[in-house]
Parts: sequence; structure tokens; C-alpha cells
Amino acid sequence: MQPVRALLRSGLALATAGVLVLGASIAAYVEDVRALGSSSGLVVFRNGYVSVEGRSPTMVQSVPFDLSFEPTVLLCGLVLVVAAIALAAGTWAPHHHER
Amino acid sequence: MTQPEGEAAAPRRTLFLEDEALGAASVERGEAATVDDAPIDSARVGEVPIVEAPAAVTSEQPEQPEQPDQSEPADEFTRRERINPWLVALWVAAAVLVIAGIGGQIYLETTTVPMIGAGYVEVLTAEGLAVVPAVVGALAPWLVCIGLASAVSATAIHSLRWYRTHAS
Repeated sequence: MQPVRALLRSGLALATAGVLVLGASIAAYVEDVRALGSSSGLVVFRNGYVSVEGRSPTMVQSVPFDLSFEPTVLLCGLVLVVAAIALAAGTWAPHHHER
Repeated sequence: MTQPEGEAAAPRRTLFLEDEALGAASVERGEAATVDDAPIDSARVGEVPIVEAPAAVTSEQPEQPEQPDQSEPADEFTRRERINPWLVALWVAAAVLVIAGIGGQIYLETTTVPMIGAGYVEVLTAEGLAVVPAVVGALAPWLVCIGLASAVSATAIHSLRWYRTHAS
């Protein structure tokens, strides 16, 4: 069970790191858009678009939320966890439980 | 030179001596003469042909109770103990991942609001900033892929275990 434990721990660590960097990226984006709206009088619309207050929606401009490596880290951790479960399932043998 | 059927089982070292001088009389009566019992002419020892007892004599052993076939493993595990918990976890993970990925795709297609028109709402939440659609859009296809890979690996493990069980 040593390889299974190693895979499981590394996968969980990588998935946790992915969630953390994804959360940090989301927090930074939300903070940026709020700062933009409060400083320039922009109204933030749904889907990350901003517009000058009082003008028509055709004047809106996009503030996209771009992801880079965060989903990749999370998905790699998920793959490692699934691989650990598959390895454990492949090497499992029945045994008597303690009664 | 035959041994009558129904003769009592003789010890394995019993021999039938064909020479007349070495106990021929007892052989004619159907009695088995052992090497120790037979009178031995030391001058003719080299000429004495020694015939092993027929199989019928030695094969008549008292019937032994039938022993269980050791080649087949005893069914010592209950059905519950034979269930592979990791395989169950793999199937559950596969189902959860596939459902999450497909749900994310459906969410993206049904909740995307056009920017121009009456659908937009002035909000400052994370969802309103399109963070959630962006994250879901980045993760959903890969969740489906990993879920399908999990299902394929679980099926492969099932097939390998079935082959080990039934092909031997």
C-alpha cells in the first residue's frame, strides 16, 4: 500500500494547491474589478463587463477573468487521486475482518 | 502364475518366488512368501527371478473417506468480504466526475446571459463577475474526461479479475 498512499497524498496535496491558487486568483480578480468600479465610477455588469454609469450598454467594455495554470494543477491532483484509487483497486485482495 | 482375487492385502515388500526350491509350494497354494520366510539356497540366489506382486494384490486397500479437492480453494470469504471497496470508490468517483462535468456544461449553456440586452444585472458578486462560468468552463470538459477514464480503468480491473478467476 505504500505506492497507493504516496499517490493519494501527492494527489490530495496537488488538488489542495490547485484550489488555493484558484481561490487566490479569483480573490485578486474580484478585488481588481471592485477597485476599478469604485475609483472610476464604472458599473460592473454580469459576465465581468463594465460600463460607465449612465451610459448605454453599447459602451461597456470587458474585464475578462483569465485562468492560466490553476485548473491544470487542480486537475493533475485529481488525476493522481483517481490513479491511486485505481491502483488500490487493482492490488486489493479479500481478507478477513477482525471480529 | 496368478494370484487369486480376493487375497488379503500383502505388505508391499512381499515377493512371489518362481523357483521351486525357494517356496514354490507356497506359491502354488496361492500364498505369498516373503523374502524373509522363503528358504534360500545360497548357491542359487543369483538365478532366482523375483517378480513383484501384481497390482491387484497391493491395490486392495481399505476404502478411505474421500478427501476434499485441495485444488479448489475453499469458499472462506463471505460475499461482503469479497467486495472490493476501492473498486466501488472508483466507480463512485467516475460517476461523480462525469455528472459534475456534464452538469457544468449544462450550467454554462443555460446561465450565460447576453451582455447586450435586458438580461444583464448589476451585481458585484463573484458569480456576476463571470468567475464561476470561467472556472466551470475550464474544468468541466476535463472532469468528464477524468470520469470516463476512471470508468474505463474500473472496467479494465473488473475484466482482469474475471480473467484471473475464470481462465485458470
